[in-house]
Amino acid sequence: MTFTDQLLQFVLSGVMVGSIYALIALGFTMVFNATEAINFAQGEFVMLGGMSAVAFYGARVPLPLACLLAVLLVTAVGLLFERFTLAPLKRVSVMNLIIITIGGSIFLKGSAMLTWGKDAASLPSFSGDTPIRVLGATLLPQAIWILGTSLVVVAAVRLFFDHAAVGKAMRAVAANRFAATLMGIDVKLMVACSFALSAAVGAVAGIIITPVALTAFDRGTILGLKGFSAAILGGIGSGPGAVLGGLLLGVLEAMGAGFVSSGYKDAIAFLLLILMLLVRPQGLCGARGSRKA
Amino acid sequence: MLRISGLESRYGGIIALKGVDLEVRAGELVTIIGANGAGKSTLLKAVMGLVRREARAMTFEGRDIRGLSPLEIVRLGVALVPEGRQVFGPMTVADNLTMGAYLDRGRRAVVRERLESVCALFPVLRERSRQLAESLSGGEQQMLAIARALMAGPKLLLVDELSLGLAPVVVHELYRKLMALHRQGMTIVIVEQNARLALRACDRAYVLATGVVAMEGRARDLLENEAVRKAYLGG
Ligand SMILES: Nc1ncnc2c1ncn2[C@@H]1O[C@H](COP(=O)(O)OP(=O)(O)O)[C@@H](O)[C@H]1O
Ligand SMILES: [Mg+2]
Repeated sequence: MTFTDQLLQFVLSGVMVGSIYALIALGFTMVFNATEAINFAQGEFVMLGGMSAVAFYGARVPLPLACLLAVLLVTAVGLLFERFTLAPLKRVSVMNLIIITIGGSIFLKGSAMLTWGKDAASLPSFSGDTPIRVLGATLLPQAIWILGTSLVVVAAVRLFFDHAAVGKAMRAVAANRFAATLMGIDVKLMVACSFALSAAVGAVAGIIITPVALTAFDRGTILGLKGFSAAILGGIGSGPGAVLGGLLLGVLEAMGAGFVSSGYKDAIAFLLLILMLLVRPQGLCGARGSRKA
Repeated sequence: MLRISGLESRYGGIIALKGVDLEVRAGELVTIIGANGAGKSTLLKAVMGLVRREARAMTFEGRDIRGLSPLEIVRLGVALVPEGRQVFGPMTVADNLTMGAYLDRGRRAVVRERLESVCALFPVLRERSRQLAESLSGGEQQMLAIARALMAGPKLLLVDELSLGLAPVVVHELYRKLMALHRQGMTIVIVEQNARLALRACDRAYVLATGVVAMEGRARDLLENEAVRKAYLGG
């Protein structure tokens, strides 16, 4: 393998993992925009997506249907999560919200362990495991699925926020809650929607990564932290930033692991996070300071 | 149209409204003037259901609105242009207007018709429709805030601090627009610290002082009134 082949290989696998980070970061972004809080249970939605798809598939549900059911189930979990943690509270600080979501994430992780045990589980690849040659590098068919699905999800989320009335209403809530209330927008409903959407997007990420990376009850934590780093890297609150941050993180991680040492893989995310917070705290795409009136 | 009696509201220990009586009849242009902190904004928020309130009676078109939520009150046809305009800064002018008609989003033809009429009233908004709201000047943002409220097709329009922080030329234009709207039949309440302009433009006026109605009457009469001149018009 020549150096350029190697580079290409790292970029390709980096983009694959990065698009997973991008989806998770997008989940953080949506909840942040609606509530100004970081939902530390975001990673658990990812884990639940993978675990419940495995469970459905194990119960002899055909793979595509198992994936769909898993997304629906996790979306419902997202709604319930909001319903029982945030919704009952009247006035809470952002710090309270964050602590509550951490508590909720521990609960979800524990429930997953009690339901499915501690073993790692997997799904079959969606289109087999014969590697595809791309110039000097190789690519698993599942990587194409990951890229394609992420692309479709990102595009769909974008269309939703730019064109759908409810999507615009969610942006309006993010921009100015008080004014949104004056428009007759149900702010609480929009917050619930943001949780449902972020859970769905997280579940998709958890499902498509499972054939290549396995899943287990405790995988949500690190994936959540990576997604969070990606969101900060891109500028928390920015959709394009989340995607950019995710891809960048994925590629740099793959380079670091490949050229330096795979032992440093996870450290790279946090190193980048600290660097970014020092150099450009608003992130890559967070040009504005505070958007609130 | 709007009848309020004995309206009270408090923020913790601070009593912001202590028994306000007020009436707005259909087709009227009414102003509420008063010093900073008199309770004007609280009064409008109380009508909208945005703050806790108690009242002997509070009806809109004969319906008791005391227990209603902001959503329900918006549905009944009351729209508030809030103090400080509060446009959706990172959204386009067009999207801000769309949000104004959020509750009628299913009725495309109605929304399009309203869009036509607010753009006829404020042509600058049509020119700037693709621009972000935060890039507009203060006066244009106030126009957008009014237009956005009108997109809901309200029967009663409440405007808080119409002229706050705006240049006199702009303020005059805004008053002309609201008077034009009034001539088309809209019922409007304008809250103002700039008493002189408001009293000139409106039919009837209330003077609010520390949470109670200190005076009320024809705007023209209040403009001549000695006490009002002293307290609110600079002598
Ligand atoms: N959110 C709030 N919390 C506590 N006190 C408030 C709040 N809003 C207004 N007040 C108090 O209520 C009174 C009336 O305020 P406001 O209705 O805003 O007056 P105005 O609009 O006439 O300037 C003032 O004494 C003000 O300090
Ligand atoms: Mg005020």
